[in-house]
Amino acid sequence: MIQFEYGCPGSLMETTSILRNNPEAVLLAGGTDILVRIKQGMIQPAMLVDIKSITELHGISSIEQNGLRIGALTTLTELVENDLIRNRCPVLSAAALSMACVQVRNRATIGGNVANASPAADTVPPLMAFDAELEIFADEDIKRVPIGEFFTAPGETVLQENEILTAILIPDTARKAHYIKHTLREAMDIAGVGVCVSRKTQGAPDPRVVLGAVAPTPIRVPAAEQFLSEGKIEEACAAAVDAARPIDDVRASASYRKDVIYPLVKRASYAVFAR
Amino acid sequence: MTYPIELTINGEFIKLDIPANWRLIDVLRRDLSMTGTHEGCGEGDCGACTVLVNGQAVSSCLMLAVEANGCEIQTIEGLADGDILHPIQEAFIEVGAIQCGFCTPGMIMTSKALLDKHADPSEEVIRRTLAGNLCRCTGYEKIVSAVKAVSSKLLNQTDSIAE
Ligand SMILES: Cc1cc2nc3c(=O)[nH]c(=O)nc-3n(C[C@H](O)[C@H](O)[C@H](O)COP(=O)(O)OP(=O)(O)OC[C@H]3O[C@@H](n4cnc5c(N)ncnc54)[C@H](O)[C@@H]3O)c2cc1C
Ligand code: FES
Ligand code: FES
Repeated sequence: MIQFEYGCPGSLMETTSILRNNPEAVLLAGGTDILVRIKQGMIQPAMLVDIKSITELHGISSIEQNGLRIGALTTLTELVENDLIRNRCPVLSAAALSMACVQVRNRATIGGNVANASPAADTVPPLMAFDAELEIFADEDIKRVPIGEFFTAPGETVLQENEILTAILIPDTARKAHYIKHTLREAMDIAGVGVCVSRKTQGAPDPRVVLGAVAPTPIRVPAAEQFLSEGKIEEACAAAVDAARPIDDVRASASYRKDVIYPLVKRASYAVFAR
Repeated sequence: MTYPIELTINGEFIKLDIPANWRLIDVLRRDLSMTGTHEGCGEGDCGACTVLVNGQAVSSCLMLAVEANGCEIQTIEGLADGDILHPIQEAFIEVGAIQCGFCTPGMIMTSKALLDKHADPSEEVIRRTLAGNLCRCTGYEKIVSAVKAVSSKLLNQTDSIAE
């Protein structure tokens, strides 16, 4: 492995000052994306800044009536096992359990999954289906960005060099949701297509339809959501197929991806709208 | 530049000075000559490098040694008590779950983390837990049987203590 320096700051302020003084530094959370990329020679950071000693980034708590605040360093294993998440947002536990293997889930963090900005990141479709907001430490201040405005391209986000994702906020968990990760292998595989459908549990359903791995970023499909709110499931599926811009890669061809979106959206919609 | 770290490996307190780019597996294999932990892929895909960090199964190829500062590490070398093998090691031998042996230390450490938490996991849970441990030889059946055998043995032991 290439050589790099290592920093282990104890606070957010200290982290930003390290980042300011070391423009080539990169944040290190669980390392399960970044250490692989370093090994494969895809990036050559001069310094890794390990944020795991920063206590504010840990922990899961409830906010407002139905909301959740999930610290950026929450591991995938914690998402699988934590009672607050399991009770209030079981789809996120299920998505986390579908990821990688236990050895990786014990290290990998939700913040790393989001910040890494893979179009196939498995926690993202459920988070988008709950209108999650990202809490970001920027210029000694905290700001909030809707997750739908966070991703700009594969691996690219609106996050600036010295900004830190501190938490993921789910303002209202009163939704029923279903995530389907379509893979070619049963375990240890990245999503070929990911589909998450959700609706409010009370009042008008206000559905969400989110697709992963079929466009440069995970996408919401407002046209499909509109059809679902009118009870038109077949039309919603067709709208989702139309919205997708998949590519050919080792996991699946673009046309295969297009073909499976329809039945996946249908299955997820029935799961969520079934009485 | 090197970084000082302190950690416990199989109950022994150790202080080291290491470069930031050394992974935990490099410290184990190169610095400490503990070659029981194997490196297959180096990218988190095969599980051969699995060790326990504070009781949790972790791929030691995906963790920097500096990140292990203050941690308690268990490796395959720490399981046997002198000449007396750990029940999981015994079960792997008895059932015939070892062929070339390359995957075995990782299989056993992942199984240990599981059994430490759940004394009696279902076959489904065993298979899901071992999903990140690849074996080129055995076809997995005997590995799953070994983990099942050891869990019933451990259960019987605790039963007889309780009686
Ligand atoms: C074998 C294997 C299987 C995998 N399977 C899956 C899978 O099924 N599904 C899936 O979605 N992913 C999978 N992954 C990818 C990876 O495990 C996840 O994306 C994981 O959640 C990344 O989290 P991390 O903490 O390890 O990130 P790191 O590697 O530490 O960081 C990833 C990126 O995010 C940045 N970052 C991390 N935290 C922050 C923060 N708080 N603020 C700002 N930037 C930050 C880092 O600088 C880096 O650029 C797999 C990886 C491996 C090795
Ligand atoms: S060597 Fe670590 S997972 Fe393969
Ligand atoms: S026994 Fe040979 S790889 Fe498993």
